[in-house]
Amino acid sequence: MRDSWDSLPVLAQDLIIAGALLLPLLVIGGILLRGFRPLPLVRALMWRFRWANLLFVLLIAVSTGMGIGLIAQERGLRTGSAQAAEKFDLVVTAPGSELTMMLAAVFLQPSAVPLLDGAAYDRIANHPQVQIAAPIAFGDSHDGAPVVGTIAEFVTYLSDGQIEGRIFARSGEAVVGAAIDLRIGDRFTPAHGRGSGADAEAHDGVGIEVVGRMARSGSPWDRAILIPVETVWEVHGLANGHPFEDGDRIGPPFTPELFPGTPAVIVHAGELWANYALRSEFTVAGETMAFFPGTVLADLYRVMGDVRQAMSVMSIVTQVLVAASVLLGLFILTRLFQRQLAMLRALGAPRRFVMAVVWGYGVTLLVAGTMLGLAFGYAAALVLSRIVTHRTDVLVTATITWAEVNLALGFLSAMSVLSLVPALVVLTRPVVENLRQ
Amino acid sequence: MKHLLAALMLMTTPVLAEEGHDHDQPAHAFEIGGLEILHPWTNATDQDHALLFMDLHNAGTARVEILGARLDSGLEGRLVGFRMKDGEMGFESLPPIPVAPGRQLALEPDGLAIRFDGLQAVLEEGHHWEVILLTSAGELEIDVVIEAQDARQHGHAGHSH
Amino acid sequence: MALPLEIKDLEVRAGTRTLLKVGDLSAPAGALIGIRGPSGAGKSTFLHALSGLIEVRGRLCWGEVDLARLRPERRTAFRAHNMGLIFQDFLLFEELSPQANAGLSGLFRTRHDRAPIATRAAEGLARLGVPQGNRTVGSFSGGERQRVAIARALATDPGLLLADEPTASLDRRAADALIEDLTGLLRAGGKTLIAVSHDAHLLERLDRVLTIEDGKVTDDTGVQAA
Repeated sequence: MRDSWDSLPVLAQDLIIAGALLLPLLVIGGILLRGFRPLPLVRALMWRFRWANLLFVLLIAVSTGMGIGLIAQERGLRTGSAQAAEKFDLVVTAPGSELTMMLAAVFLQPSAVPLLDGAAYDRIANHPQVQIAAPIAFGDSHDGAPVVGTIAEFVTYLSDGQIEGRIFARSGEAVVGAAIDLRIGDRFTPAHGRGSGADAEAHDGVGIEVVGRMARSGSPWDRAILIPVETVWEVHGLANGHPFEDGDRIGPPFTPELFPGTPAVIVHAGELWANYALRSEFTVAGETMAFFPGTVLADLYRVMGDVRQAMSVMSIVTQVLVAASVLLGLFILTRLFQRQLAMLRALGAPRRFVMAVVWGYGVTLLVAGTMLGLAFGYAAALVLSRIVTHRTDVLVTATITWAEVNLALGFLSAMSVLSLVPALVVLTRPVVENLRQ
Repeated sequence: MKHLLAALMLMTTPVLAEEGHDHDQPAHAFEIGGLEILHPWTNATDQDHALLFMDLHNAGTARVEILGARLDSGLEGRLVGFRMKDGEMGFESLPPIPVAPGRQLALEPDGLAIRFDGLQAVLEEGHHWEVILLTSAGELEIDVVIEAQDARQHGHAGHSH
Repeated sequence: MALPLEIKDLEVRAGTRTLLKVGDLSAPAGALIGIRGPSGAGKSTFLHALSGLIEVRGRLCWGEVDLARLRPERRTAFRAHNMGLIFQDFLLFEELSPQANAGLSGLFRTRHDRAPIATRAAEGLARLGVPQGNRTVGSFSGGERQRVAIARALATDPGLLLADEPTASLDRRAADALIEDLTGLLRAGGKTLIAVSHDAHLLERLDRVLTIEDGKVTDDTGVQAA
């Protein structure tokens, strides 16, 4: 049973779940409506109480949309941040907080972090399993965008080789992220520091030329300016990692004694398994710390998952409250037209027909509210995603998946069962009493 | 009141007894071909899959490959690596992993692990689990401690011995 | 098909209180009968009993069918096939067209019955001079509304028509016009009418008038000279 379920395509599973969720609604509808045509009366009721109905539909839509938007946004954020970190298999830093180091090295959030020395870098770079060991250097900025020093290999790896123009070939050249407002051939002078404290004049006389532009990656690196790590060191009056005899050569290998230090080394291994071995090897008490950004994110998502659960509970509570108020509203509205319903019974309409009218009316409101809610949820996720993407450069895409659709369908189905209650209550009062009112 | 107090004491006594470090437990270190296996552990579960974790250190002179593991029943466990893919956490199968002389390798949550699928018996917290570790240096029976269902590290983590 | 009425020892009770007691009463098929009396005397109760909307004791036969012995849902079905009801305040769906209101019964009848009901509804509206079209009855005058209600009651081609103060909500002129058309239609169709009314203009056009006081039939004018 379990195996045959697992062997189904995901879409089929989702469709089956959606169908199962809708089953109570369809069964009730089938039983109540069979052979009847309650639609003209449902329409009449929709029109008669149009403002109250509109309010109910909006109430259902907002509560459904809130829940859905929240879930969709959380997933978008999770997917977006994970994708932004995807190129960063393993990061080696000085011991400290993995989260701080990840935010600094992967998401380019400014923070003061300790440095790894040349010997540590050398050990990592020369490990047989290591394919790329990219030192990074930050601290400077241009027009608010971080200027990050690294090596050409890493830029190529980060952009999957998709660079308009070319990669930097010597100190003083730059490759910019897709979201940077500089054109190839432009020159700029980096400011010292980032944000409002940046000192624009500290590096006067330094001119860096843009020679390439990376394709969009959906990560904060879209808003970074990448330059040779040597340039960063030189601009700050440090050794550039190479002996004088090397001339203008940039990139590895570096001479450990002339290596000014790096806050993080981004490591790419030749083979997948090697990452795990490298993490064990580069985790040396008191010297270096190695971590998978994916794992740090996983920890973060676990916390986020808890928050999401708390929020889900809140949104379910909201849904239940809305459901209760809609039910109450249905009670009140059915009382307003119970004379007409009694008239139907007097004309000889069976109980089932009267139930079909009341239930059909309630379900019409619910379906309209739920559909609108899905649209609201999508719109909310879309707007939030834009804001998050704009602020963080982590590409967050809003999608409504079957999980959300099924959540909405589950709510719809449960409410459709509850809508039987007002329908039944209408029938408990004697026809004659209702006629007399 | 007296009864309540007595009940409280009864409830707390066994806990207190367990808190003391118990050195009479079976050894948590194993060795084969120079490869030291420290603190093998897993999480309690009533599901049909489990992840096996341990710390490895090659104290020998030859490199040893970790191939996987197996149970007495013949059920095979394979090496997997934790991966974040599109925001979803998951595991990928890995080839044998070598541990060079003098090197260490940690099998730990959100990293490397040996995964068993199709377990028959429930793994109960506090119990032990017999697993045969498969390495290029041979097979070795190890005694795996079953930690709490939500444990993220073995019970000795943080101890300085 | 119009059905004769035969009542014997009919009793309607609410708890221990007797609301209505009718010993012997019969009427031939096609009779037009009025019921009058002070309010609270039991007129409406009698009408509800005759329509099978409430439980009764004794014998209450329309033709061969004794409503006193039928369960509620069977009485509902009997009503659907044999009776048309008219109310003082029409009880129409204001949002619907006259045709939709008049053909209301088609919504819960079998597919087989739907077309004839719709046809009779249209015919009834035409004969009663109700303006057709897409206008909803919300914009109709009282007289027009009651005509729609009559068309609705007759759309199922019932043998019996039960009316509760059909002219009370209308002005004199509209009421007189309605009385003319209603009695004409019923006599032409050979249908039985039982109408609770205070309206002398209506009562004088009927075959027979019962007076109900304090839950009893105190006067039965019998068949009046036409």
